[in-house]
Amino acid sequence: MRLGIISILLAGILALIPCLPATAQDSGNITITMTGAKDFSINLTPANWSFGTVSPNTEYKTDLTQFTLTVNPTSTCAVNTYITGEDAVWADDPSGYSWTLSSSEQNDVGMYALWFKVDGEESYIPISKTEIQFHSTTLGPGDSKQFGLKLLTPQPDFTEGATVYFSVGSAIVQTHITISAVAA
Amino acid sequence: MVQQSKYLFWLAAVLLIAVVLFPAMVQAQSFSVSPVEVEIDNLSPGEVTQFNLTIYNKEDVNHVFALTTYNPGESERREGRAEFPDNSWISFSPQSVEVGANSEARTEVTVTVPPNQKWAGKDWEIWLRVAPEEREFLVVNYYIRLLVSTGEEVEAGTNMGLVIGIPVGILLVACVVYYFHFRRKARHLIF
Repeated sequence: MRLGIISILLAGILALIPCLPATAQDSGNITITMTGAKDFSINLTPANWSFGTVSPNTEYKTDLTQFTLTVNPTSTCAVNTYITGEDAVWADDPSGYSWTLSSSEQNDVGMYALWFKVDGEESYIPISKTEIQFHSTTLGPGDSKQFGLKLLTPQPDFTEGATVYFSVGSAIVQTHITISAVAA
Repeated sequence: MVQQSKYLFWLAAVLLIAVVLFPAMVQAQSFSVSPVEVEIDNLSPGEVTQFNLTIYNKEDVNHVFALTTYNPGESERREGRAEFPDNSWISFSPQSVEVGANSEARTEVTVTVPPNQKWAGKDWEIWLRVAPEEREFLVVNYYIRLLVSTGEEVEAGTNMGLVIGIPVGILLVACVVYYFHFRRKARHLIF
């Protein structure tokens, strides 16, 4: 009888041994540091813009002060900024008609090109679907940059005599330009 | 007749098209995120860790924000940080967050590194992107820098089958021993 009880007790102790390392694994020493001292936000104005009615294979420019990016003055760190564009689609039927954003600054049938220029800088920089720096240096709290856009519309979808056409008329084609920010 | 109408329609179709609409002097969606940088140290391969991100919606209407990962180029990463090996090691719960007007909402970020010695002692960087789902012409996105350093040791991970199987096996052996001990005792009593 006594041997039986001892056997069960021993079995119980032995049974607990493999569980101990499993429990110990939960007590790792991982450090997570959340940088609460850093905080930022940016503002873009205006949020919307229209180039109005446009013709094929034509260049359009906004004023260089048309858009403003501002790092919120209450931010506590400088930021790096990036810009990217995307294909333009027919607002009524995005899958029905679209213009691809050029990656070579050249337009084509169904392909348009976009550039931006920060006021005071030398040249227009092409916007593509790959993110590039919006401003070469970091922007601090309260910093503000005005910029303009240049659009080169696609070549005509078809031509009748001397007149060139897009295959959808009086349609609204829309796109988005994304400006991203990260703590410097 | 149909062909003719179609032809007339295309002929009548204006060569002009409008790009981007509704000019308005309003700013792109106003929101912010916190923290803007997270550093995880000594995360051993095989371990899992979690932290929360908070999104603040500063507008008078509800907005939905999507969370994704992004691998920055070498020149954008902190010095000494390598590219994060696999974006699937990071998950968000929820991945799409609705934030009420002028309020905030949290999402939980889970970072898992597989139990493999080759991931020990590494310093990586990846960015977490917060983007509004409803977008205007100009869109603001924010990135959160996530810096992950792994420990030198590899956690084997808990093999639940082994943890349960060993005690059960030992108990069975104990029961068999106990049974035969009683049987022998009972035989002693009979004879």
